[in-house]
Amino acid sequence: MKKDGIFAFVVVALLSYSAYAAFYIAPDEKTMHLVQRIFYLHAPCGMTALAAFLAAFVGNVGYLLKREAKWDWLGIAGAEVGLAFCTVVLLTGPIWAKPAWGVWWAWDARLTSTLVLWLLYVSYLLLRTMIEDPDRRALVSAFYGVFSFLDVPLVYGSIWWWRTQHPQPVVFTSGGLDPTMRKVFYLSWVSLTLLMALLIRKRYELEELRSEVQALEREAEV
Amino acid sequence: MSLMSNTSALFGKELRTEFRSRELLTTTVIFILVVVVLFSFTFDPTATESRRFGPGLLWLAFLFAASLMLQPCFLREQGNDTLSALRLSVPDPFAIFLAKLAANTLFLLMTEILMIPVFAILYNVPVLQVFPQLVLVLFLGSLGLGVTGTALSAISAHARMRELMLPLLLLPLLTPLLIASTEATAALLDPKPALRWDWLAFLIAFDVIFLTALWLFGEYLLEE
Amino acid sequence: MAYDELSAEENLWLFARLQQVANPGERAAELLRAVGLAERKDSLVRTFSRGMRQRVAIARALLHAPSVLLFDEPSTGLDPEGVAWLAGTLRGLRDAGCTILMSVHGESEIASLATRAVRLDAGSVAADTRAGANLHAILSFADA
Repeated sequence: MKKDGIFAFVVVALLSYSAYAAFYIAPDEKTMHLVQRIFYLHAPCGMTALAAFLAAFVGNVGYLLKREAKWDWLGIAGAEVGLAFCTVVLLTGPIWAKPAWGVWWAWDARLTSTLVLWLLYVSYLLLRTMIEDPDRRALVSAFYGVFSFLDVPLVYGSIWWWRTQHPQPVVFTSGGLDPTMRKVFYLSWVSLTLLMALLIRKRYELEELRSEVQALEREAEV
Repeated sequence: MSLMSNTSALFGKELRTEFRSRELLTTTVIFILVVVVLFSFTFDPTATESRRFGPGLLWLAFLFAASLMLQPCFLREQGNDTLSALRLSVPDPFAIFLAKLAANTLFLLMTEILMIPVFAILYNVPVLQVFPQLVLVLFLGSLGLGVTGTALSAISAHARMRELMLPLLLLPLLTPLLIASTEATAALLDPKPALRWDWLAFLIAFDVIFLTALWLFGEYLLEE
Repeated sequence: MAYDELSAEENLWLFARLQQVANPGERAAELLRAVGLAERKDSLVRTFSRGMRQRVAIARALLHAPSVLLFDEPSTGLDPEGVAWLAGTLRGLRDAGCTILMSVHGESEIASLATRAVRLDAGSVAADTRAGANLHAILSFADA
């Protein structure tokens, strides 16, 4: 318990510092000024979402091979946390795009891929609510989780290649980062990744407790 | 090899069942036709517009049709518990998937080829000189639809609201296939037709990846 | 456990092929004769009565000449003529050395074929003829 508390404290401290750094330490960007600072949230969230989905994939494969409930807990934890970070990407994108380009949504490769990813994992969560039996739910959703994750590179690849053929004005440039900007970016990335790890761990524990409760309920009914 | 002989026996069963009633084939063809016609009301089909939107709409229609046509795939095995009978009789359960996905791919391909002349007439696109290449694109795309659709049909058979779940699970997954097939088809229907090997390679990769995943993990979906 | 959209013969032929039975066509025809469905071999199973479906299922189970058979309430839904036929078939299989494990409720011509009976209560063995219990008593829940 105490270790968790310390870890959580460290995460909160790092996040606060990186938020401060994003606003006060990072230099002002020439063309987009204040709005550009959302980049320190938007881009790292994209990467942590993928990392969380990777954790979910590990859980899914683990369950298919080992059939132990703990892998299923990892799968659902990773998927939910990944979906949360994915949502942040999709919300911060338009906030950036509107002042910069006058449109709420630009069908650029990264944003579009993230949207498809979001739909995929929402379907994963929805599927889980449609199956009552816990073992079957774990098995079936593990399989769909594997399929979804295998689709991720295909989604990114096809959309990116497609956009290369039909170019659009590029909305999110991250090229040529000034050294201070780069440091703030990495700080943000590290703190968000630690947040992801903390959230996955907590969600995993929650799922562990839930399945214990359900097992006790079933025993009581018999 | 028993896998091949089992697959061909089951494939024969799937074909015999479908060709006896032809329910799936006829309803799928009509559904695609309805969707294509409805789509034409959403934009002004001049020649250039048709060429731009046509291939995408055609493939969207195929995707929707597939997500409906593939629902009975494993559901019809639940009625008389024939899936248990199959599992007891067949040493490698992958034969069951292989037979079904081959049959589904064939049915999809048949309905698509049937729709091509209709599409060509309604949207004024020239298909005759690129017909063989078009069939190749249709085949690779349908194979992807068949593999993923058959797998997901087995998944959604376990879930509530399965009629809605299959399209919901399948359609986002098929985004890469939709893009690749549409681009390859559009390139063939262009005034200067070209066979886009990059997109075809992508389709092949899509098919191989999901077929492998199905081979590795599919048997777990058939468990009680 | 048969396909409604296939005929009785097609069903048996399919499963015979899947189970790698030698001469699947002949074996299917032979079993259809044995279960009394030779005249209806080309009819779709969809048109069969409950009793006829039962016969198809049993024929399917016998395709590869098994040495062990499992039955779950085999006489359910059968008319008296069907029950008599099933009893005769099971007696023949039993006498030929096949091991038959079946779950039944109550006394019947089929239940009395048993050479050993066990009564289960909430998952544990409550009575066993091998331990001296009476077959009739087990079947009629006399000592429940």
